[in-house]
Amino acid sequence: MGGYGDVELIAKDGKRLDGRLADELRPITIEVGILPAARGSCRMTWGLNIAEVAVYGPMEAHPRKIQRPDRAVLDVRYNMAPFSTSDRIRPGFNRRSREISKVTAEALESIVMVEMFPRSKIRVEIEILCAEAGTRCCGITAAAVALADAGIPMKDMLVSVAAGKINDVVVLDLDKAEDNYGQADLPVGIMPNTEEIAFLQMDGDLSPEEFDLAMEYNMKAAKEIHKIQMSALKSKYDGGVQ
Amino acid sequence: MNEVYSGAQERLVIPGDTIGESRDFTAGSGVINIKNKLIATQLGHVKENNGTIYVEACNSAYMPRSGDLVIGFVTSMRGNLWMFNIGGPFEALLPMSLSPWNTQFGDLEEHMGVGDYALLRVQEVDSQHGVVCTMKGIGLRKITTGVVENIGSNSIKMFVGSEGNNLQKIKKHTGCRITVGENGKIWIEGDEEGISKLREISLDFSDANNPYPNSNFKKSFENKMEEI
Repeated sequence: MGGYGDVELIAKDGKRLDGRLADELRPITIEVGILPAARGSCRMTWGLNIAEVAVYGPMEAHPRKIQRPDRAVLDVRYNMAPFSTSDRIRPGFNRRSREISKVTAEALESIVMVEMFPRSKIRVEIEILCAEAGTRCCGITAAAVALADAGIPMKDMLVSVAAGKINDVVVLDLDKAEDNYGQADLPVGIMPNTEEIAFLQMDGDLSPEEFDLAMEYNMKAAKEIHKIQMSALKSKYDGGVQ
Repeated sequence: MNEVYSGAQERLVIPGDTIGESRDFTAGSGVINIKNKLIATQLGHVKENNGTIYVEACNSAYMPRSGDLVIGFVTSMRGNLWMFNIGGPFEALLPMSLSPWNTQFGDLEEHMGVGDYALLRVQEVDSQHGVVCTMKGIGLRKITTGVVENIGSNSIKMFVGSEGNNLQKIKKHTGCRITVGENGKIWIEGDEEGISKLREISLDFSDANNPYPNSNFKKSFENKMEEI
């Protein structure tokens, strides 16, 4: 979020640089069960973002000090591959990946019925193979699908999507240029059936009206993405017949 | 998707889907009641039995229950107990006192070491998911012959068939003695030819791309059962 509001990101016809309208999502595809060794897995492409998620467990939590007597611990690791962006990323954990791992774990804890597996651990590995803004949303949405694929009991699915502000216009699903030169970014985690919010972050400034509009866009997009999640899961488990 | 469950048909649901009203059904496994609505908590097929609606999960982890017959292997030992991997989220304990041998403290390796397989019964599962097994009972023993194959706990029902039909057919076809553990492992005893015949069948189940027998897989297995 550079905040350089003078960069032209919206054409005169109201379309954005990639030809989308203000409330339009980038193309999304989800493929379930891509990693045979994992209990649940998923590959998601969202615009140019590519995320692969693997879920292992529930398993005994090690080291034992992380065990909780009344619930499972979600061990989430978000990582961007060194080749995921044009500038090589140094391998390993950094401040950003730690923050996103924590945010993702807390968001997923609100849907996963962790109390069913005391003392255990559910491992969620999110690997970003290609990044073009919105990787945390892509990772969280894919993680929810992988958890469902793994048969982990959940109260609802989770969809994460971001709206933001560019050239004083509220838009949905920022791409790289919009993320870098836009004025605000509002990633949200939404439970699509109950419309509850599992996480919310904001970078930049939005007026109350702009915030409401951004949330309206996010809520509408969450329903769309939820349909893609459902069809991906069903196409795998119903033998491709829907 | 949030259409209410309408009766006999089997329907695939994902977590969060509404499958009925609490006034019509009681919530069974894989279902929770939120504000008088029955919500699926797992990916699976909705089924109904005597007014209880439940979700038969597609790909759930094996959760041990008291009384389950399981096949596991020793992962480690303490002075007075063996730790077994039975495919659940937690290791299961076999205390010295519940083994069939008269063992002395510290001499456990004389009877079973790390990597040895055994046929066990789950004696107790506590609220903290601590699993205690026993080897005292008819047929429970250390496995020293045959092979152990993994077909997955979600496929057991299909492998055995209604009233054990499929299992009987497979036993007759292969000439093997088969013991099915509820944790998705099967113990096969027989000659080489029989074991390889059974492996042809069990390999389909242990195929990593088929964690759950979906409709295509079910059909092909049914055809195979008709052939034999």
